[in-house]
Amino acid sequence: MQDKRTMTLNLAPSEMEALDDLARRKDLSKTAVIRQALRLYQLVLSRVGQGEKLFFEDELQGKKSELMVLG
Amino acid sequence: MTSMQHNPLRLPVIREKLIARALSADDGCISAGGLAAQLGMFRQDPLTEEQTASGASAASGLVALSRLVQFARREQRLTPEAFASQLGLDLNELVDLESAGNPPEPRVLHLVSAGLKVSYEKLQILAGHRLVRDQSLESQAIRFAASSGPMDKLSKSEAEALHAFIRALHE
Amino acid sequence: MSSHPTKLKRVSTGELVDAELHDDLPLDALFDAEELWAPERVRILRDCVKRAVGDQDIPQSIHWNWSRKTLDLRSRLSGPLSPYRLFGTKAEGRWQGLMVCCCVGYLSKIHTESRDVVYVNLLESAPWNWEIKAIGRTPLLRGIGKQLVELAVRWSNDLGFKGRVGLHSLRQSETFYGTNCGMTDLGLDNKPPMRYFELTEKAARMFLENEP
Repeated sequence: MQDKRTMTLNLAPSEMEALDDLARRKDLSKTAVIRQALRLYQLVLSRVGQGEKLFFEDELQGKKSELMVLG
Repeated sequence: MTSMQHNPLRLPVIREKLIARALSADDGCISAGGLAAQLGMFRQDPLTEEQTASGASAASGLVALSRLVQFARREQRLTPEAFASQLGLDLNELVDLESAGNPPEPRVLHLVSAGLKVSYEKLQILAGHRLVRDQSLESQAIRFAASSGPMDKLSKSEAEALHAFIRALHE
Repeated sequence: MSSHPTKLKRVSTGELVDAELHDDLPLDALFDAEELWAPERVRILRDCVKRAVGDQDIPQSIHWNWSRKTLDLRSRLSGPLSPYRLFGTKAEGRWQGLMVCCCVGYLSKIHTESRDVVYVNLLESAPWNWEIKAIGRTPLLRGIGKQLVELAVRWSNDLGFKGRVGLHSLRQSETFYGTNCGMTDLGLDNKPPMRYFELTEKAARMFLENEP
């Protein structure tokens, strides 16, 4: 089993509220939300680092826009 | 290559019942692969084209679904807002349903099934998501779809038609 | 790599066979698997063509190639916190089934709120474990499918997703996921054009029931 390490996170009230809101909406613990966010961030950086691009697409309106990711 | 990077899963030491169920399952065909389609490895399934429902029965299925929802709302004498709230739908989702426009999403069908206590699988067939011939359901749907249009209060015959159709939609 | 002992069943004799469930495979395992699976695919296809088997009865994953999939998977599996995870079942010295799952970017199609699911990107058993009635072929070993799904459900629980799992099934496997695994059929999807199934939290709890 991988050893877990503990850290203290200092968040502004608005950041904590955003984290609370995400946890409630997704029915996840705050720790689980942060883990998911880390995975998503890492996935994006990894694929952009290999030359891929990340887009938002609105199929109904036929619009596509690139999300600029600075690695 | 990549070394272990995930926490090992914890499985119970004794899994006899789980193993027994796994061994008794008919798992001669288990391939699943959304990624295969993304990677262009998806072979077009000839049966998918054959199974496409005819225009007439698909349309009457949607009309029957819209009538079901309308009649159920009017029987309870609820406004669209109140009925949508009762079912857990957005108002525009209920309006779309009652207008028999586009086939409703599976999530919407799920909520209607739970709210009206009718078979989700049969609602899928009506909406055209499930391509299974059910002649009895088809003929019930066509009869129900031909019921008179919306008025404020259900007439006796409309109420009878509604209950007969709901019986047909039970598992 | 972490593994768990289990059993599979030899269909011809009913005898139980020792096996292992692996829950974090390296990419190498895909090459090892396909080295043995590919010749078997060729044998099956040759048999199907010889017996003029109709398209709809030919196994739909006959042309898959796990070693080619490594080219796409290598970028997805790399990094210390990849959302992708590779699982497998091994018995008698060879891979009997493989599965790739992802835990980021896939939401439940049943829930109104944005609830994550573990999505099964790819799942297949070794070609010698396929049932192909059209050429009179029975599986060599049984028990692979549900035990791989069990791993996906356990990972979903570990992540806090309460056992929710989603997948797109090939047509020939729809009965397995809908009936055998207790997944909810949510109908034909457009992208990809396959039927989508989802295991609800309640169905996941029932799936993992292990009380004697």
